[in-house]
Amino acid sequence: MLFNSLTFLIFFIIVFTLHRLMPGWTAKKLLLLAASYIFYAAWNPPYVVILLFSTTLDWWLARLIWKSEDVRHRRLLLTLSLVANLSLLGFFKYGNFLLDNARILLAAIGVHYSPPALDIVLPIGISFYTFASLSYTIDVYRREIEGDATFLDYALFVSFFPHLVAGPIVRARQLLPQIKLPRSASRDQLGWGLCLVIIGLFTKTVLADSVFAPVVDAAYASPGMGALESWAAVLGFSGQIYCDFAGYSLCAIGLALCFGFEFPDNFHYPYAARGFSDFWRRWHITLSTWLRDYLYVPLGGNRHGAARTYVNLMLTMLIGGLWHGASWMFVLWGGLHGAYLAAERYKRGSQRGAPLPKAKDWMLTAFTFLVVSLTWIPFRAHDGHTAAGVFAGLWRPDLIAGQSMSSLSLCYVGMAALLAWQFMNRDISLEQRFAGFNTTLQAALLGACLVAMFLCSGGDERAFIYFQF
Amino acid sequence: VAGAGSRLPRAPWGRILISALLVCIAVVLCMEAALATRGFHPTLADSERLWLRQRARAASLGDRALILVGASRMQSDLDLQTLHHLTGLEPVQLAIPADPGTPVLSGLAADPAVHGVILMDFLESSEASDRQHWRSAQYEHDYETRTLDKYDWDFSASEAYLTDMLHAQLRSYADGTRPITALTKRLLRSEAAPSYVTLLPDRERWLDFSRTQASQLYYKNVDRLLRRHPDPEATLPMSVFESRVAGDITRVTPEDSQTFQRNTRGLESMSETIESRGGRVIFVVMPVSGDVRHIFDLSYPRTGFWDSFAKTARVESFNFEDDAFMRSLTCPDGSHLDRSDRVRFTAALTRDLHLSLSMQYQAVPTSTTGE
Repeated sequence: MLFNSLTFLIFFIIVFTLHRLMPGWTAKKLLLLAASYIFYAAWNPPYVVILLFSTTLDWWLARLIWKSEDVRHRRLLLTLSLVANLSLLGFFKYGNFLLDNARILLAAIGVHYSPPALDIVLPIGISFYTFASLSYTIDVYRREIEGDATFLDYALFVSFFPHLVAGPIVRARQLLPQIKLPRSASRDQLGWGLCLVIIGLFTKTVLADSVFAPVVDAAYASPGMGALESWAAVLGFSGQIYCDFAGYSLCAIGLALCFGFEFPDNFHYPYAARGFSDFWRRWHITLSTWLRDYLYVPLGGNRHGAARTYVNLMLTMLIGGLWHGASWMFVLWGGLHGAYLAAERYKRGSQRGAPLPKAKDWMLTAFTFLVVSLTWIPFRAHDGHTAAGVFAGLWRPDLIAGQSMSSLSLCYVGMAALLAWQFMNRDISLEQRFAGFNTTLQAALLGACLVAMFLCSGGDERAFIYFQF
Repeated sequence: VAGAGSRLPRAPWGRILISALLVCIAVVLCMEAALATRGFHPTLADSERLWLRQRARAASLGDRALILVGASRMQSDLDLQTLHHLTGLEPVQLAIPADPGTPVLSGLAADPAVHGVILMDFLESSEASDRQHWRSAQYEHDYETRTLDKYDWDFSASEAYLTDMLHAQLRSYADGTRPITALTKRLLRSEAAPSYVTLLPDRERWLDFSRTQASQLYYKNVDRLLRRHPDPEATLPMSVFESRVAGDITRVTPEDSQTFQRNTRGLESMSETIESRGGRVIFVVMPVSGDVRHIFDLSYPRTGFWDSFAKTARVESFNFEDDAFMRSLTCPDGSHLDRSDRVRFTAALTRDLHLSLSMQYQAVPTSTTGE
């Protein structure tokens, strides 16, 4: 069930109304849990079993970890949780990838083995809820939070429908305390929550799907088009993936607010970043902080010398790349970002730099955006051939090979506007920007978003890009 | 944390959100009104998705189903409400324009859940053809292989249902277009003329020839049948056109009937399979008129084609030429009835096929004629 669907609109109205009418906090939680499972089952009902299994196992193991005083026992239980969760993720997400690569490796040493094709359908959102769930067992193991959550609270934390299938990756320490105590949305929470949903749907359906996606899809379907088209595709994909995922995150945060829950921010104008470490503080924040806290820091972080720090950085980014999907192209994308972060760290040292003069600041921002955009090429391309074709297209002498000038212009103008908006707002929040407008302008902006969504409706329905991860 | 108490903007939310919604509603209503004044009306674009939904109905309705199979004539000439009113059965529209329907009949025969009444649009031209790859074959294959789409509770099914319901109400989505296209091409630049075709969510389709130049469609139809290049003149009086094609029509020769005989044996077998489990299949030749009828008569002479099928095969059959009223009907484009004739034609056909409520359980002669 997509947020940008009529089915979801009806689903939300029903759930929201029942939630307001239902007496008692436990009844409200049961309603949200049931609604979340229905929401998940709308994609593929049997995969609800995997979600339930993962939830039950982690809840049970976390309780045992919490109660146990024996360090070895606690470590064993944590290992069990990690192995179970990562095995599920590995089988469903990386099963075919591992088999394919094993076949290629064996063929290289002369062993010809054809493994049976595994007809695996990736359970939607498994990467997100696995990471959310793992945050609980790890934090309980570290004694950073208590492991006494009731099953209802824990199951609702893992499956709460706004974040279930594509994040933000909400951690147990952020959401469980909110679930534990009765709460209802204030007028401001409800109002701002609905605003975020409207803005999120606008960025998804209008900007990502209607302005950027057609140009990007055409160029990646036949790589090596004219230079103007290839640049539009590269820049357009930067816009598309940001508007798609940030739009989804805004919807998720807004929907949660409508029920009185507060989620962490997931994006903060990433294309206005000053350098790559700044980019990762602004892009998919809940994933990058998860990787930092549960992978980079446990690996040693920057505590064991420069060489080890670079290795840890690279490993974290490679795994971060692989988290996005079972493809070497994602690994390459992660590796490139790892290299940029390492290079930046080498240049700056461990100290963060002082504020830059305006011109240098602009140049650094533009350089960061350009490199990040070019690095999206392996992320978007299904294979090396396509990536090479699009990259080669950037330098072709002919400008246009077939796409309409109006689509290309719209894409460039859209991207320019998006960049200007990000640059203008990079040091303030969306809330601050919105609050700076007067009431008439606020209503006009939201009305314009709704009108634009109506005008752009009725085309090909596109799922959110991050659903596949 | 997003939305954390201290960061939440404070505003008169009710006023802001209601104003925004009103702005949107006002724009939608203005567009609808403007499109209405330009002659546009709500209509869906036909799609496999709509067809699959009807195909699932054909299986689930059992003996209450009145299944319409065939090409565009079966889809355009019959009025589903009249059919339902007169027969008490639930019409299911499975006809596909420019397609013979034989693969669909084959699929229905192979589906043990289907045992309703089937009206099959009988096209001599298709039965006399060796062509194998029809759209209907793909649709039927997709129905048999895509199990999830057979259930109404599936997300994609519910979403498709709701979307079609909405699009069937608004002119901004007419003919499967997007509101942005309606705004730029139909309102701001007037590039597109309203379509004379209307399609409803149940795939009922009607043609209102008063909205178009029917004669142009007629010429195009005749030219296509004669494999003739269209006349370059944009508008041509009917008498001039008829005189120009008269020579071509005299050169039309009968098609080879061997393929026809082979293919119709298959139809007979499918019909027997369905009837063996309580169903009923009736083959119907739908009305054509003018030169289109003339060309059909010459290409597929009744004695060598239709009669040999209707008289020798053990099937129920009906030809519009056997009913004086139907014979008198004019198809504005040569092969489809206008919307205004559909109800009368449907009532006459229901009567002739002994499908009306009071007669549906009576014995029906093997070969039914209307006169």
